[in-house]
Amino acid sequence: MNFILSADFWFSVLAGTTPVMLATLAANIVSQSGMFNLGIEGTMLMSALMGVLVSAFTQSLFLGMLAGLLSGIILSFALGYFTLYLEAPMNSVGVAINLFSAGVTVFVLTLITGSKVTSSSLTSLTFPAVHIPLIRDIPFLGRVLSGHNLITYLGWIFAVGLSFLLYRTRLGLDIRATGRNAEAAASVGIQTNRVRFKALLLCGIFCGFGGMYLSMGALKSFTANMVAGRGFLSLAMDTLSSSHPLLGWGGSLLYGFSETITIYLQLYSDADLKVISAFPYIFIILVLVIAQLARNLLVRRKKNIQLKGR
Amino acid sequence: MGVELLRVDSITKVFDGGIIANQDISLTILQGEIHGIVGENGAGKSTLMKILYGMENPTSGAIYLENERLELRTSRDAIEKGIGMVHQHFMLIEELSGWENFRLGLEGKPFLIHRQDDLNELREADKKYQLNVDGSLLVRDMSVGMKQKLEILKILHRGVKLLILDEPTAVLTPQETDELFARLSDLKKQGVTIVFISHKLNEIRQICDRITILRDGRNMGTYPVGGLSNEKISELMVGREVSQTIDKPFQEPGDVVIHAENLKQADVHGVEKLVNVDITLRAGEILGIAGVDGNGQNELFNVLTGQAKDYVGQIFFEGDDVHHISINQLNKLGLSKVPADRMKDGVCKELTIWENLFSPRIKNFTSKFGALKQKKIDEEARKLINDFQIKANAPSQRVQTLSGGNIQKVVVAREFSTDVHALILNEPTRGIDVGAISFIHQRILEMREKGSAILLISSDLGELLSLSDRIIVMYKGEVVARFNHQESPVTEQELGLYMLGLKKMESMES
Ligand SMILES: Nc1ncnc2c1ncn2[C@@H]1O[C@H](COP(=O)(O)OP(=O)(O)OP(=O)(O)O)[C@@H](O)[C@H]1O
Ligand SMILES: [Mg+2]
Repeated sequence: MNFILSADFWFSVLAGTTPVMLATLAANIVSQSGMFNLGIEGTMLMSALMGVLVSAFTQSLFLGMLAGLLSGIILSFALGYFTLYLEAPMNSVGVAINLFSAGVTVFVLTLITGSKVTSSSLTSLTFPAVHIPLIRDIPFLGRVLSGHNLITYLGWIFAVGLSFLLYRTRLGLDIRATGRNAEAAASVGIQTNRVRFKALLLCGIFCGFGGMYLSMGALKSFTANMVAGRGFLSLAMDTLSSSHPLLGWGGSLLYGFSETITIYLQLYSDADLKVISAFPYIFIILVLVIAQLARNLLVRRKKNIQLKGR
Repeated sequence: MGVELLRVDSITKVFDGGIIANQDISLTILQGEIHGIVGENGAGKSTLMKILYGMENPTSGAIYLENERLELRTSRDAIEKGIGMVHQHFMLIEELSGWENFRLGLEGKPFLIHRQDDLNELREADKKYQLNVDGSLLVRDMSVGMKQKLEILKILHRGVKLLILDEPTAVLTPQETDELFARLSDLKKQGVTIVFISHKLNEIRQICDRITILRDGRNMGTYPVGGLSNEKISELMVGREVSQTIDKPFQEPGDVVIHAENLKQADVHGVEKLVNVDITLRAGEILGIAGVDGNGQNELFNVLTGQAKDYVGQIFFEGDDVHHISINQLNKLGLSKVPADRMKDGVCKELTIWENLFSPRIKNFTSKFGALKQKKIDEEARKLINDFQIKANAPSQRVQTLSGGNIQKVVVAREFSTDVHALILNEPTRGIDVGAISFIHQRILEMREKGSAILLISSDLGELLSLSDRIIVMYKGEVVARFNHQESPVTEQELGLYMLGLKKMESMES
């Protein structure tokens, strides 16, 4: 297990974290506004494909990015439109979005490339890796923190930015108020549907980047079903982090860590593959149980001290 | 006659399911008056107010403000026209703090939140209106009274032309009510027009200029308040005379049901909320708890009913230490309770009446294999609805579509209809109309006669004095006086001295 000490390993952890983290941010903002987006998986998938296609045909990374973001936003708005205006049940619309995306992406892919599986016959563009001056020169840390894909850094900025937005701005307060008690929010004049669409706009952007990271960053092409459950995982992360973006980031790191360690174990150890592939999930469960136990202990401690104090 | 501010022109409101809440109501509110609205539970008062505030759309009819027709699609439109409303049920976000609720929706606030600025703004407003709201608390940690005052502060701070108050005093103590009335008089002098709803006729008399009486969704007329006797008002409201005398026979208390010793509890800031409280509650007696709101009554309620376990000391329920008994278990052992905040702790508002009535004892309504016995449920629910005079269409009506007082009756019906050994009541008649109050008082006395041990927390001293056998006064979490009211009656004045902390008994038997 020497690899744990290598900079490459930790670099991969951060890279593996990126798509889950963006998906979790999307889940965070939506549930803070009082909705539930089961369709994050499909939304990311669609963005992953659209980014690849448009960048391949226009040979413009910027237009590719726009297309990816736009499709993310459109699918998120679809959730809002169907549930808020047509009063369709939230979960059904989410499932519909996933089915729609899974089908449409493969259909379009086959139509354009002839392959049902991958877009590798197209020359699509990717987001660049960024080497950060000064930081890149720090021994060890430089190799962990610098050189990531542009979207990874955007994700970090989004996580910090989103928690600032939620807890320090008027819009954030409106979003949280709407999410917790929409009737009360409306009674002081907040336009709750408008607030929710703002949240969905952000959700779409996060899903867009999350999807494009997979097909235009981590890999250089689109493959069918490449989101591979990360969108669903984000819903769990969202619940575990009580929809707080920074905690969500922490949870995603945990996932990134266990995903990476699994890959390394498969390469470097001769343990049973089945055991290894169960590792990430067991690991995450263990960490969460320990964290919760520690929290309970702290709370109990605090109360006892107060009562004994007098 | 003064200048007309608002005119309601034959408003009718029919809800889904055919419930007619307002039927052809027309009325005029004059500039600068305090206009009372009275009527039984379910008469349509709140519905009419929600229509004026843009929260409900009328089925037909029109509203004119200063002779200009109002098209209110949402509350936002009403707010823009200078209409403000304090709702019967809190419109507060429990998970947010006082100041966050206070600033929510305020016009002209900067995009970035400055906690200290907002808190200062709240404190200034609080000082101006003298309401004593602690804006730094989370709303869910506030007492019901403080929540109400936060609601009032929220609206007053916005500065409105027309202020609608839907039963604001139901959760306030008499002292707080007097203070509120002083503020309302100030506002009136500044030209604000006020619509005020209450079930307490003395309050209506005290501050209203004119009143409108609603019965079954219809306007029974608007009158100057001076020209009507209480009897006449009741008659217009109910259609018959209501008797309010309570007749309570002497009764020896039986065995001890609840015994609590040396109870102590502190809040998250380490402030002591209960200080060495001893309580003994016997079968067949009513023990009244008097005290100004926030002196430990709610904490006592939570501790005794098993909702709060973070206390020091011991509580015995029929001899067993309750510390490790769950709420559910206590309920099965025969502990019933009516909480102070019906919407938060009393009902699940999205569920139906029968689900709320029977959920604690649903086993009685299921077959061997766990299927619900719909027929039995329906019959018993109808019986309770009838017995407790709940104004409802059917047992399958969702609780949130009932009027406030009728929701309270659902809670009371559920808690009074099981096998009750002990009954812990926190403001049981909150928001209930005059006729139904005396009915509930009767039921409480019946429970006493049947041998239930009853603890009654109430800010209505009249209610306490007429029902209690013994009375305890709490001040700052401490028991400062005990009276055997059944043997030697105490007076309101005497209780007042202890409630305000001006006097304290040195030696007491519990
Ligand atoms: N959303 C709704 N759907 C169906 N019926 C409703 C709804 N809201 C209110 N009602 C019904 O309309 C009637 C009037 O209710 P409203 O709340 O206006 O009474 P109220 O006069 O305010 O009574 P209270 O004194 O108990 O507060 C009641 O019968 C109630 O059940
Ligand atoms: Mg009402």
